[in-house]
This record gives sequence, C-alpha cells and structure tokens, in this order.
Amino acid sequence: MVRYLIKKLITLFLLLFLVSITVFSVLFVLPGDPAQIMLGINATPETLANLRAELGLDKPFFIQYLNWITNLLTGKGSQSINYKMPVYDLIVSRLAVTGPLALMAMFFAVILSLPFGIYAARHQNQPGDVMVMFFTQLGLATPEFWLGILLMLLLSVQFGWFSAGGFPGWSADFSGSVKSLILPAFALGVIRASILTRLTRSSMLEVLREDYVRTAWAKGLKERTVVYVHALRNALIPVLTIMGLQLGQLLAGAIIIENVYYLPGLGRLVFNAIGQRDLPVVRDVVLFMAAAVVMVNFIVDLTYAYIDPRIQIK
Amino acid sequence: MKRFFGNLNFTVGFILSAVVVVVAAISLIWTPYDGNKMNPRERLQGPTWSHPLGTDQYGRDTLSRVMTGAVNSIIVGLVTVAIGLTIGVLLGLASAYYGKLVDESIMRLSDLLFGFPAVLTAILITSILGASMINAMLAIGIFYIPVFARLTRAVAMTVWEREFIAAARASGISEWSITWRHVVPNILSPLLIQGTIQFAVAILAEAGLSYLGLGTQPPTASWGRMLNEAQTFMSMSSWMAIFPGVAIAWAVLGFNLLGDGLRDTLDPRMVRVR
Amino acid sequence: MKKLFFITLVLALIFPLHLAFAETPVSGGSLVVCQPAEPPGLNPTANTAAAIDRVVYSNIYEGLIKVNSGGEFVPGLATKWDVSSDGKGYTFRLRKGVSFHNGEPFNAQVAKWNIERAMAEGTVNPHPEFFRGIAKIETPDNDTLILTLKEVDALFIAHMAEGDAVMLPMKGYENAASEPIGTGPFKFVKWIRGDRVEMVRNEKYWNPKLPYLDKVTFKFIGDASAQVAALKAGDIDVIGYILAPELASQMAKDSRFKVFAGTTTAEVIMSTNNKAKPFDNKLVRQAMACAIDRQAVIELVMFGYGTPIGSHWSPSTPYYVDMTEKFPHNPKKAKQLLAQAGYPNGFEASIKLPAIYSYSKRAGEVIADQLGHVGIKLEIEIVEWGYWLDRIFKQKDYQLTMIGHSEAWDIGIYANPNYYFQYDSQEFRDAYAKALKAPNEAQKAKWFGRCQEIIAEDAVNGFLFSASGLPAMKAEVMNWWENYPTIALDCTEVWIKK
Repeated sequence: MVRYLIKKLITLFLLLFLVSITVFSVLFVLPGDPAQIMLGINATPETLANLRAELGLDKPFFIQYLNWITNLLTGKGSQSINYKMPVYDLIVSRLAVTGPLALMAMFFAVILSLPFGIYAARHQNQPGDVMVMFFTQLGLATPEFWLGILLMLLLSVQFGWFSAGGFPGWSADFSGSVKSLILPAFALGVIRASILTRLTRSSMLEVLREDYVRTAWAKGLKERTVVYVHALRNALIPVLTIMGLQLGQLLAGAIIIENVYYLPGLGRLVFNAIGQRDLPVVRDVVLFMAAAVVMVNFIVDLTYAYIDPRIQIK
Repeated sequence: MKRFFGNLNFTVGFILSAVVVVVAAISLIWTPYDGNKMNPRERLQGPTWSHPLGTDQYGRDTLSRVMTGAVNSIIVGLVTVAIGLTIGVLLGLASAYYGKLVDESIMRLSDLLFGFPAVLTAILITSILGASMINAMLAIGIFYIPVFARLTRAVAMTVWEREFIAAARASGISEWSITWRHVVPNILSPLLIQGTIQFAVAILAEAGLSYLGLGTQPPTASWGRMLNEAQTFMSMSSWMAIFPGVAIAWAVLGFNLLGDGLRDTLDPRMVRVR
Repeated sequence: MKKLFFITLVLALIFPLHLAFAETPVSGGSLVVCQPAEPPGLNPTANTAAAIDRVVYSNIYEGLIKVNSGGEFVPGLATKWDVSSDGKGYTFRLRKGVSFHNGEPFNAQVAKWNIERAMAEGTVNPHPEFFRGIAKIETPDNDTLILTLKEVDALFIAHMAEGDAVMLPMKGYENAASEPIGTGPFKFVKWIRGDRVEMVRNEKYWNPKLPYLDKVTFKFIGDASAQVAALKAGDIDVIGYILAPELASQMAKDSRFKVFAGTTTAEVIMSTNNKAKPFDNKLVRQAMACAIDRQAVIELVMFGYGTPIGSHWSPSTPYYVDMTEKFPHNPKKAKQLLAQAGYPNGFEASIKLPAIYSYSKRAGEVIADQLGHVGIKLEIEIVEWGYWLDRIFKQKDYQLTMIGHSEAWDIGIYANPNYYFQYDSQEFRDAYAKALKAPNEAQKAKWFGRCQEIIAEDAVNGFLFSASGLPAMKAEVMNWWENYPTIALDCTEVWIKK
C-alpha cells in the first residue's frame, strides 16, 4: 500500500509539473502583449517598454518560468497585473463563489438523482422507469447554459423571483447571495443528476442481484430494510466516486454557467484574465484547476485501491 | 435491420437524428429566406405565419438560421470525431502493440490531457489560434484522441490475448497483418458506438464554445451563438432563446439515443469510456 | 424609433435643467453607480483605460484643470491660468490650503514633481508626449507654477485636463493603482475585486459646499440585462455608462427612471488599412463610404441612440464640422466608383471585430450586410482584445476592423503614417501642424475644420457614428451629466432628491 501510494504521488507531481510547463508555454506563445492591453491603444512605445520591464515580461522564457515556480514554491505567489493584488487572494475570494455554487449544484444533483435512481431500479422496465430514463436522456442532451437561460427567462424576466444574474457578495447580502446561486446551481445540478440517476439505477440493479441481498431476502427482513440498508450502502460506492469527480470538474468547469449568470467565480476570473492577458492569474488558476481535477482523481484511485486491493497489483 | 429497429433507443434516436440530417441537407438547397439577410423592419418578432420561428435582432429569419445551423453542427460532429478517431486509433494500436515505454508514455500523455479542465483548454486553444469554427473543432477533437486511444488499446489488448491470434502468430503471419485482419474488425463496433456518442458530445461542446463567442463566426448560423445573442435581447423577445436550444437538445438527444441503441444491439457488455 | 429618440433627447435636455433650477440640492445619501468594465488598477497616470477615469476622474483625483459637464475647461487645483502673449508661457495660480486625503499638502512643488515624473525617462505615464513639450518648470512661490513650452501647443490646456495629468501625492503615490490618494471630493475606502469600489465624502474638500453625497460606490456589472435588473431592484442608482441601447427605450418610458441620450467623445469607425490592397485605392474607400447607410447602422446597432459622423470628430467637441453629406448613402454611386477602381464585380475582404465590444461586433455584421449589396463580400472574424492590439493595432495585419476611438482631440493619429490606419498624407500633416500652432480661435476652427475635411474626402476610414453615453438612473438622482465631453462619471455635484 505504501509503495503504491508513493508511486502514485510521484506520478501526481510529475503530472502537475507537466501541466505547469504546458500552461506556461501555451501562455508564452499567446498573441497579445499584457502591457499593451493594460495601457490601451494610445500608449507610447516607451511607456510600453517600461511597463514590460516592470512586469518582468522582457526576460527570456526559462527565467520567467523559474521565477514563477520559485514564487509558487516559496509561497510568495504572483501578483495579478489587472487587479494589483496577490493571485492567491483572488483565487480564495473567487472560490467563495464557485465553491458554494459547486456544492449547491451537487446538492441538487443528489436530492434529484437518489430517489429517482432507486425508484427506477425498483421498477425496472415499468412505465415509471422508462419515464425516468427518458428524462435523464433529455437532461444529458440539454446544454446547461441553455437551461440556465431558460430558467432566467422564466423565473427572472417573467416572474421576477430571482435577479437576472450578478452576485451581491456574502458580507453585503447573505440571503441575496444564496438566492443568486440557486438558479445556476440548479441548472448545473439537473444535468449532473441525469448522469447520477442512471448510475444509481444500474448500480442498484447490480447489487440487488448479488448473493447477500438474496440472503437478506431469505432471512425475511422487511423489504425496506433490505433495499435501503444493505443494497443502497453498497450501490452508493460507485455513485459517490462519480460525485467526487463531478465536484472536481465543477470547480474547473463552471465557466459557461458563470458567464450566463455573471457570477464572479473562478471560471469567469480565468476567462476574463485570458481576454485581458493577465497571465499570472491565468497560469495560477489553470494550475489550481488542473491540480483540483488531478487530486480528485488521485483520491478516487486511492479509495478504489482501498476497497479493491487487486488494483494495486495491476 | 430488424435487430436494430426492435430497440426503442435506436428507433427513436434514428428518427431524431435523421430529421437533423434531412433538415441540414434541405437547407443546403433551400431555406424559407436567406438566413443572413438583414431586415430592420421585421426584427425581434415572435412566431408569425411568414416567420414560423420569429426573427432575430437584425430581422433575420430564425427558421432559416436554425436550419443552416444544423449543417454547422453536423460538420463539427463529423470533423471532431474524425480527428479523434484517426489519431486515437493509431495511438491506441501502437500502445497495445508495443507496450512498455510507448504504452506508458501514451497513457500518461492522455492522463495529462484529462487533467486539464476541458472548457478552459478549449478557450486557451482558440485564444492562440484565433476564434473560428475550424479551431473550435480542433480544440474539441484533441480531447477525443485519448478517448479513442484508450478504447482501442483496451479492445486491442483483449483481442491479442485470444487464442486465434496465437494461432495466427504460430502460422507466421506478420504482426501488422494480424492487426489489420483481426484486431481492427473487432474494434469497429465499439468505435462506431463511441463515435456516435462523441458526435453528440461535440454538438454540445461547439454550442458552448460558440456561446462564449469562440466557435463559429458570424454571419454563419450556429445554435450556440444564436443563444448568446438571444440572452442579450431576452427582455424584448424571449422567442430567440427557445428554438436554437430546442435544436441542440433535439440533435444531441438523437445521436445519444442512437449510440445507446447501437450499444444495446451490437455490444451489450460495453460500458462508456469517460 | 427615430421619433422616440428625438422625444427622449428633448426630454433629456429640458427636464433635468428645469428641475435643477427649480430645486436646491440637499446633502446626504449614498449613491451606487454601475459601469460595465472593472478598471485595471485605479491610477489614471499609468494607464489609459477609460474604465479607470470613469471611476476616479474628478471623484478621487483632480488635475490643475477640470472639464465640466458642458465641456468647458474650469479651475481644478489651479484657480486661474494666464497664457503669455507668445502662447508658450502658462502661469497657473494654485488653490491654497488644499491637502491630499492622507494629509499631505498640495502645492507648487508637488505639481512640479508630478509633471517631472510624467515626462521622465522610464515613465509609466501613457502620454509622456503631453508633457514633453514643456521646456521649463518654475515655482516662484508655493502657489504659483509657471510652465514654458518649447512651441505653441493648441491642445496643451486640453491635455492638462485629461486623467493623465491628475495630481498624486509625493509620498502616497506608490500604491495609486490599488489604493488611490487624491485631492478630490471623495476618499477611497476599498476595492473589492470583481465587484465594486467604495469611496466616502472628503470632509476637508476645498469647496466646503461639495460634495452633496456621503458615499459613492462604483459597481461593475458587465451584462446589460443584469444592470437593468439591478436598477429596477434598487441595488444600484445609476447605470453610468452605456445602458444597452436595446433596453434604453423601455427604461425611458418608465417614470421611475430617466435616460439621457447625450453625446460622448467616442467615434465608432470602420478602421481601414490604407496600405492593404484594394483599400490603398481611394476610389475603393469612397465606394465603401457610399455603400454605408449610417442611419441603418445606428438603428440596428444602437437602436437609434447615436449621431452620424462624417469624419473623425465628435459633435460634442469644439470646432466640429458636419461631414456626413460628403458621401451620403448611395449604392449606385458606390458601384460606379468600384467599377472605376477596376472592381466592377466587387471583391472579397476580411473584417476583424474585437470580441469585447458588442457595438463593434454588431456594427461589423451590419456593415458586412450593407457592403454585400454592392458586391463587397466581407468575411467576419471575431478576435480577442489581446489579439486585436497585437495583430491589428501593432502589426497592422488586417484589412478592415471596427472600433470606437474614445478620446477627444485625437485627430492627430491621422498625421502618423505608422498608425494602424497607415494613412499617409502630407496635406493632412500640414493642416494639422497649422492647427496646433494656430494663434487664435478663428485659425483653430479653420485648420481643425480642414483636418476633418481632408480625411473625410480621402474616406480614410468608414466614419459611422458618435455613440451616446446613455446613462440611466432613478428619477431622484439629480445633476448627473447629460453629455460626456470627457471620460468621467463625475459625482461631485450629484445629489439625491428626498
């Protein structure tokens, strides 16, 4: 187990190193000069050169990369060109939006998918099951940003129950902030619920066929106990895994929905930073997102290895 | 054929996707109006007899644009799957055939690609190459390479382990010829299934990129871009936000169901790869 | 639509004036102003981004001279200024007893230091050339600043009133981009990135009657519908700059709100690469000018809120000459000119549109449609702002593009053959030089007018319209600027009716 862990950890760091190199090179060749974007079209060449020197953009590739990594490793971090503040603080403040958004989305996904998934499994191939499965197909086919727009159209524009995008800020207006996350979280959640419902259903079906469930039946326990206590507990393991993966992806992948609802989250931070060529922000956020995805995958791998020791041998 | 149409998923999927293909084909020859023709006097209309799906902010006919948007989506689906398929299958075969270092590095590279947040990477790629339909297809297609590579590798490895391959080897047939004669035919149906599903995913992905303004460029009609414009004019004409979204969901549902149906009938044991 | 626009315009012109005279301002209250773009830093002397000036100009920072709502140059930190008879010497009398928000005093030494800093080697001021014409800076006493120019500069006062020339304190200037310290009516409190900048009343402001407001918050909301939703919900009081034109007419009908259709200094133009084939041919450019229907562009892009222009000069800037009749919309003539230029069947070209500006994307689509009618087929490519600056603006790798030039008095860019238009005309350079050296108003008007005429005749770019600022606000907000003769959202004299 320890050897496996060490081996996995090394791969993890290697992967993050590769990600950092790739991100850095990609941003290095990106057309567009951060200094020019900051100063606008009326800046003189002289001012541009001065600013470039100030930002360290006149140094060669390798030095710039080393500077970045050293700053990261020593905890000094980098400074946002656009916001004039440490990128670390920016990430933390934006995570305060994206994090709750992702969690709320998963909450919606879970409360929708578990009952429907279990219901569908218990009524396999009956009309109810077919209906549930049809709706999950529909959920898989719906672009989440369109669902977001439709919800906005109906509940914000028509009924005026929610504001049409924007985020008041946790300290300024707590309940308003929660409210402004509901629609985007719901749009994200419904799409993910479709996947989880299908997974819960198939996982339940598999477990229900297994021996110990049959034994439980034979022992004469009530059906409820069998299904909910025994089967569900086992069926949930793969579902939990996928939920973990989805959460990791949501931290990185809420870019479009954050754009639909104008939420100041991590995704929009990096989307705007690319447009403004705020390279320190882009680099750090991409690395952070990649690390989040890789870490979640890593934890999932470990959980699997823990549950099923055969994986280690492979 | 009967085997296929006995399956509900396949039948419904086939009908839905056939409609998309037929509409796209018709739009190449005929649309009710020129979808790019601006008409200031008729803008932001709801559905009427002359414009069944209404008009947009320039007075262009939405039905015509939704129709030509289908062509756009089909091209995106075909090209991205083609990119992923050709490169992915070659890499997957190489991985399975050479094993060891080649296998290890190809698989680690695909891990690396999976490690990047997909939407973000696509945004970066289109930022470097410039926003266009071709670059959007490249950005999506790149993510398909590891999908097909892993699938091919997995299938190829199990085929190689089977006995008839050993027999073929013993009779002195060259390795590549074994690959072509025995391995490739065996991976065709999993590839077909996966390809259909990725086709649907590509339509969704292109819509997302175009929504962000990074995909298909105006005036070419693209469903994702139409939704982006619709959001701006939401309070004046809600109709603009409805039909392009319905078109996306319709097409994706169709190709998803088609893929599921193919899997049910061709290869019931196969599970989705990512 | 046009009628509606006219009514709004008339209302906008009459209504607030009438109220302003009828009522006396009351102090107190806080105001939330929304603008679409978050500024990149808060130091206007280190960055030309308009979003910065809109937050800080005349609110936090002040220069020697200010621009008021009527476009006039009025005393700021200088109470008056005299020009010597040769036009080269400027004597500024500085306001006494003014201190920065951190307590540092403002005096002639500080002013001198600011100007020297802007013109020094290694300056980060985006416009060092505004100051480099200064030959000598003298400070005979604490309240007098004498600047002597190398040559006469007709735009010197205009430049000293820009955000690039505001005064920073000698000690507290390092963090100007994140924690601005100025002499203005409002003191900076905090900047919550991605959301808002807060400022409060400066109790020690040199004009004890001002400001009326206790607190001003600038909130950054990019999306037009979200802005309107926020205004309707009462989260914000003013949409300071460019209410989405498609929403303006609805808002104007609502008695709880008012919308001003005033002018700005911005000219939206189809920039043309004058060295790229076939646009190096004057006939081709003139043909395009004839093919463009400005009214339709304004209608489709700005929903009627804009003023057509025929040259690179905003109607709100002095010495404006109307050039829109030089090439009125005439597709037939456009085709003739094209045939004359050797393109009887038209040609194909590309237009690159910057993604961040919705007006330029829309205008690009409309222009592509209009040019299509005379046989010029445009392929549209939407590009990122970074790409635009790099490839189009810097490397001049483009044929056509669409952009708004927001600075006033910027016609001098046509005198530079290396500017991205690549327009090279000795005639224009001579006229512009004469305008800069013009000794009196009549000469200035003559030569600035001539400049406008030359580029209109040469059809250097597709001159489309001057955008309206379209501020929208609650009916209770008083004294908000109707026109934007400079890039600012000045809240000094704004008050809220109880």
